[in-house]
Amino acid sequence: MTAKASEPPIVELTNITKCFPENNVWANREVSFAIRAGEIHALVGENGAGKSTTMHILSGALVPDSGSIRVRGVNTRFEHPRDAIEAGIFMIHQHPQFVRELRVWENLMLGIEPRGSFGLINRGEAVDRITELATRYRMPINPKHQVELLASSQLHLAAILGALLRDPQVLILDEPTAPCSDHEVELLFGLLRSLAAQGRALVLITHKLREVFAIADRVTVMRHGAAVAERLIEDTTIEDLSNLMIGEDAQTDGEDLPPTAAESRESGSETIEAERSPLFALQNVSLYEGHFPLLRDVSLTVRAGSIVGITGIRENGLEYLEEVISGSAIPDSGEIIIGDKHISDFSPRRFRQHGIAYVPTDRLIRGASMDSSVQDNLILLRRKRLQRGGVFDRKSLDGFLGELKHQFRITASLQQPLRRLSGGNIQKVILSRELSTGAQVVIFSEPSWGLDFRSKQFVYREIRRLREGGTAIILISADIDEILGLSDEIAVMFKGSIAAVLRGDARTRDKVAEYMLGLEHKLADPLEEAPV
Amino acid sequence: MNRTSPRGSVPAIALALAAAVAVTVVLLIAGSDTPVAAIRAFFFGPFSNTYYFGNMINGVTVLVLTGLGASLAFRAGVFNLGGEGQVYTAAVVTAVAANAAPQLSAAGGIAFALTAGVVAAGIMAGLSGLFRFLWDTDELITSFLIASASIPIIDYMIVGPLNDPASNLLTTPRVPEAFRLLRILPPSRLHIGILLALAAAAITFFLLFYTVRGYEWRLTGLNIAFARYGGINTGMYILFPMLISGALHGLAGAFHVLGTHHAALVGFSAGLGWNGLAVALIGRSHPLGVIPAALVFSYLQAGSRTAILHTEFTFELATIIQAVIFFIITAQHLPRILRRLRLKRDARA
Repeated sequence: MTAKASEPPIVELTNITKCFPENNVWANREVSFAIRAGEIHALVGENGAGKSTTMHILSGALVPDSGSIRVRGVNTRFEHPRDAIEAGIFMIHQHPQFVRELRVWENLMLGIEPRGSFGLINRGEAVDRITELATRYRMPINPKHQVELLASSQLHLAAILGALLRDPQVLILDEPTAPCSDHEVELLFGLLRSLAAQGRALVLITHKLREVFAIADRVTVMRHGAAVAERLIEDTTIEDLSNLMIGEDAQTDGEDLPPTAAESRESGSETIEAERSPLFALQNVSLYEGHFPLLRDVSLTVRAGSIVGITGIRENGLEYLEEVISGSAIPDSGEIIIGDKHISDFSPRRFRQHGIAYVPTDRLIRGASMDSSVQDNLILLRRKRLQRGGVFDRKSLDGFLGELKHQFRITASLQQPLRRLSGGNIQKVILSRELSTGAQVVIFSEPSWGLDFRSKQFVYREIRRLREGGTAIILISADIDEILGLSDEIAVMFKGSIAAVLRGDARTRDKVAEYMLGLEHKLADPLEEAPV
Repeated sequence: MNRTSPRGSVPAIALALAAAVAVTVVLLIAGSDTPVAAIRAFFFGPFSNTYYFGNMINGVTVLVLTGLGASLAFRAGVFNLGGEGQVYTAAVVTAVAANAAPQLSAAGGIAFALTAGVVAAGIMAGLSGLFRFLWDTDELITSFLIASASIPIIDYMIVGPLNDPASNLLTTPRVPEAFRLLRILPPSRLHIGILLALAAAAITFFLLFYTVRGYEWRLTGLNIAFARYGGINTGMYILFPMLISGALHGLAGAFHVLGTHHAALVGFSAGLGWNGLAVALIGRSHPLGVIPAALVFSYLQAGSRTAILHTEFTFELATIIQAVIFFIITAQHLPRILRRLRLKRDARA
């Protein structure tokens, strides 16, 4: 699937311009972009750089103000996604849309249902065709399942299946790896490679430069609505791309990672660690669903001024651990100690009262109220201090909000509903709210999911600033780089237990990966590997 | 991206009202031998004299209160579908209380009778909140069931043990004259309850948007998972909204007895609870939006009343028009209500 620059492109966009007058934004300025058969073309850029706009134009969802689209050398005009699909161009959105109540096959075959006698839908054939495709590409998708039952990473696979049923020549994927664990990313990439090998062209919108180098043949960088550079992957480096993305040489260590763990190693934190007071601890915590253990004998200690990273492959208990340490689930056995208090009363409310702040994985439902205003989202935890006699005090309200806006550089208007904000700004709002309490223990779960470079840097800076200030931090993340870059100690989960806690020089990618995959897991006695 | 607004948009509501009016006109033309007179009576009748006009405004009193009751429940994400029975129960309790203590001073008697009615309806709806809190039963179902069961019981009480032997109507005895609310636009039945209803809207507005409890209330309604995560005692915002929603319905019933009819008539509350829901939906569950919504609704009701009196327009036709209005207005909210129910179910699971 090596791409030859000489091959004529399947699709060529030339000088595409698109302006959104209502926002006064040039979403695309003279963007030119060519897609070649058999090639995986990555499109990178920060949030708002214009990647999605370009791809929406390519997939017929938006009509450009000017510029041309040529498909196999012929000038074409897409007025509707239908037109693009007919031309063999199919886009899979970041959050694939399905009818959750319907089965997978009903969703995927929507509009192209195979017909049987009397024009009725031929269910058998529909299911068979999908099963056959899923088997061929080794996708763990059962067409008879209800979409509701699929994990978010499976939704993307299902969407890709749906696209393949329409046999597209150009497949556009918008951040397909965001909900995937490292293992699932590997599966997905294998699939994408085999699709490219069949001569299809793939466009991959992503934030993650590491992924670009793992899979792409060619990369286009967008910034402020313009395509600033196109490179063959062998001709570029991470530094080169990140400089092009942000347009400044500020970033020296390349990837969208926090500066390495080496930094914290040098700080000599290990030596003092034992003396620092433990602020949060789990002792032999287990959680069951019926007889099935979701968490087994989990023990952890988090001390002031240190970051304990918890990682693992999805379905290995990270999500249940998040529930337990945030007070949302009641463990069946074991102890939770916050400060020096043994907790007997489990609820998010109690945990908050004991001084725990929590940035949840699920930002859109648990972490924020999308239909409430930015202001209503910000004041959640300080509501009781901004009032006099039960009535909000205008002065302290303005003071508090002004301070947050300044400290966290929130530019959004306070009265607009949160759902109008970009993902990065929503996370900023959540973060600033949680940090506004001055909590002694802060739990971050997947804090950088779906964020662009700058927003990620912001989040990492805040986490490190907290550690310096003596906060005890728990970082739950399936992103190994993030865990390696930030954590003083790394707890690796496997099948509901902590397979190992890695400290000091043991914190390496290889070690973490080994424990994640259970290669070092001693099934005979899981406790042996789980130091308290 | 296309998103459903959490509350109906203003143009959508205006469209629904316009559609309702259009259907009304069609029904008037089709159902009447003298369509022009019927239309004139329907649309201009309510303004033709003080009696009709005052009664129309008096209708606003009840609709504002029941509309507020429904809105407050919506705002907390709970549903009170028992307004009908709550209004009715409160009315009878108020009538009984007023007649039980004729020796009280005017102010004392009014306060006593009002309180009795309000408390009765508050408890009635509050029970559904309590059941939800204790056993996670659906308040939408239980409030409806409790209220529906109460209606025939109250019917029986008015026809049977509480019947006024002196009257040839199916009604309780009239309340002592001292306890009757001041009429402000005779000969119509408009009484000072309207001022209290407007005050209730203003107070509700303040509580909902300017106080910490109001903030918690709204947040629980918009996203209960988020409210719980933020340490809000969400159980309280299931119980209290039902209680207060019931209390407001109770106030409507009590005003009806002390201000409008001076007695509880059999079946007088038919439709009042549902109309409150419709008013809440037209008013976008906003305490101040409820006022114009109640005005529009009351105007349409008054129109059908004058049309009945002045033409051969039948009572059934008037009921159909009301049903059509209710249907058109709620239909556009159906997806949202279903979505809310789903969210609620998911939050519980």
